[in-house]
Amino acid sequence: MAIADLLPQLLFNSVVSGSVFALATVGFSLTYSILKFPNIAQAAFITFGAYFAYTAASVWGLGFGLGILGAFLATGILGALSYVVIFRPLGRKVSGFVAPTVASVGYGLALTFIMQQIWGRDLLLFSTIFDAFSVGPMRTNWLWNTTIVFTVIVVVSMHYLLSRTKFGAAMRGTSSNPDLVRASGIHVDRVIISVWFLGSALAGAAGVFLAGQNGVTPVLGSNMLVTVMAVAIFAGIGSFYGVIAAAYILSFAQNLSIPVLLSIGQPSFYSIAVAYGVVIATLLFFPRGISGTGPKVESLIAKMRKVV
Amino acid sequence: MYEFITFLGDAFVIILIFATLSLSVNLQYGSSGIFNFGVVAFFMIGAYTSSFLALTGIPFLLALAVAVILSGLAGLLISLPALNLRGDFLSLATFMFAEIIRLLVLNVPSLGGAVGIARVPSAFPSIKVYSNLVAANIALSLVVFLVFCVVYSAMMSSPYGRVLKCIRENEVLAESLGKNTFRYKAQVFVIGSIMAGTAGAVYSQYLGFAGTELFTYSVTFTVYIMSIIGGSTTRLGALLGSFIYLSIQDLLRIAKNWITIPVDPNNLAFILFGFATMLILYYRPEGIIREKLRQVRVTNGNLGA
Repeated sequence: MAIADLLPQLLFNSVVSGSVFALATVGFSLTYSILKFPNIAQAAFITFGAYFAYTAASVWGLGFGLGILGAFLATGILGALSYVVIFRPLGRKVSGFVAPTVASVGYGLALTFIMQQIWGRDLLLFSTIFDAFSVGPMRTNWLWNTTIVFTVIVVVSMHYLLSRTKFGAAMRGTSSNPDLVRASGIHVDRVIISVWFLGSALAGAAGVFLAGQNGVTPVLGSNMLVTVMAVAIFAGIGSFYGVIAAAYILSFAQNLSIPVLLSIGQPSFYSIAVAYGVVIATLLFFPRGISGTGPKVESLIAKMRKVV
Repeated sequence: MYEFITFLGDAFVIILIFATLSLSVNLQYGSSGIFNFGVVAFFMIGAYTSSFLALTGIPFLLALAVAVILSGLAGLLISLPALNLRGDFLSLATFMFAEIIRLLVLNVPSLGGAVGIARVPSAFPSIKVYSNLVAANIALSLVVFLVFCVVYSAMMSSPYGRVLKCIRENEVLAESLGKNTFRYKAQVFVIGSIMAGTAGAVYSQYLGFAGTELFTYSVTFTVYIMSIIGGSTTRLGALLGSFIYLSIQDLLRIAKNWITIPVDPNNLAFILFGFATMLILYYRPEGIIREKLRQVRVTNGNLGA
């Protein structure tokens, strides 16, 4: 089959997976820009959301919709608590990004294995089954549709929050200059807690959408970790709009590279490496990301000249 | 009794291999402040290179030499662009590099793909008795660890090492003193990669296997946890961290046969390590064994001994 025939479906799939990428990454990127460290435990939040929704939807029988809502709230609370109990005290005591990064590794590990203890290692499938149906040339199902609608609602409301409300201004301010925000009489800590709540809640929702199709295992979130980092870096750390754009661009790149790779006789599995290759190139040549919010660095050429 | 000693010996080989890995983390992160979050990539390159070559009939030492060169080269290639990045971005870039390498190897059929390389020839093909083989491997991994300990102390106890510590504490200061910090960091990165690569070569010949599931990023996490627990600035800290981590893991696995606990011991081990890492970072961020700082007394404005 020619690539052109597959194109509508590939584009649609890219939108679906791009939405999940975006939801999973927003929290990582925002907390990174505020607290200046990559929170590896984000992966565990994704998994937690999926497990919580599984329990709510398929064990307690509340249905998939309430499952998403429950996972959203529960993961948000988990994230906010993680900040208050672990990362806030640690940040006050130890400076630099290494200690909180490694602590988040340890925390993620502990959370993942607590979940493995509770829910086991086996694949758990949601009892809700999403039947596929055709829309024009594309096949879809209600899970995918919900994913897209949910993401659109999130993007619109986040845009409203960031650009039209005082809270949004405080959030943007906290990430660029927390001292100034504090001096203006804004309770910075409260802003940070809300960002952790929001970011983790979205990650939890991403977990539900990921697991809705193929079920949930303890490694669900860890498998997303590299993608989350890739999207956040490609976007430029801390930029919400950058994350949305980067998520869709990377997902398009990944999905579109599949037929291209297949047509030149390479396994489609390489598509994920293609996406990460794009990101490493981003880091090397324009590390501030597509939104230009990443760190300033000396140009590669200037550094290389020093060595030689 | 005989079996028990062999079991201990087996555990000791793995402890020494991970101590070597942990030492490479201590050199890069603990002593020079380079947060290489892709240690496993170099571990893997070493393991796959030597396994692949050993299967074609090349003797172990030659395969090891090629593995050392290749892992060092890979370290150089990555360090040149990556060290340009700010510390936290360096960690993300190296992390993703490791994952890309793993995914690429996973899809190369000549490297075994998802199955991995099985029946990797041992470094000691003439030894047939298992306990003797374990003893020989203890010797091999001990020699590797000690050699790198000598390299480590030669680097760190010299003016060279003081420049590295200065880069760790304040890179701008080091640069202002006319030190080419980039070159120093690149050299440390390469030497650390060689350590990891050598550990990988020893590991795969001991297991007789090299597969991508052995080299996921959880290995990087594990090694960092070892380094942080033991103390990330000393040689002994690397060994101690590896020893504590692996023996707790093994003890919990053995304890399963004797006492009944409601929690799966494997899960419990990881939950404990997770919390231990956080607690150590909070209460004793320098790890169990602290860095010995040189005392310099200043009297009347003169530097004294």
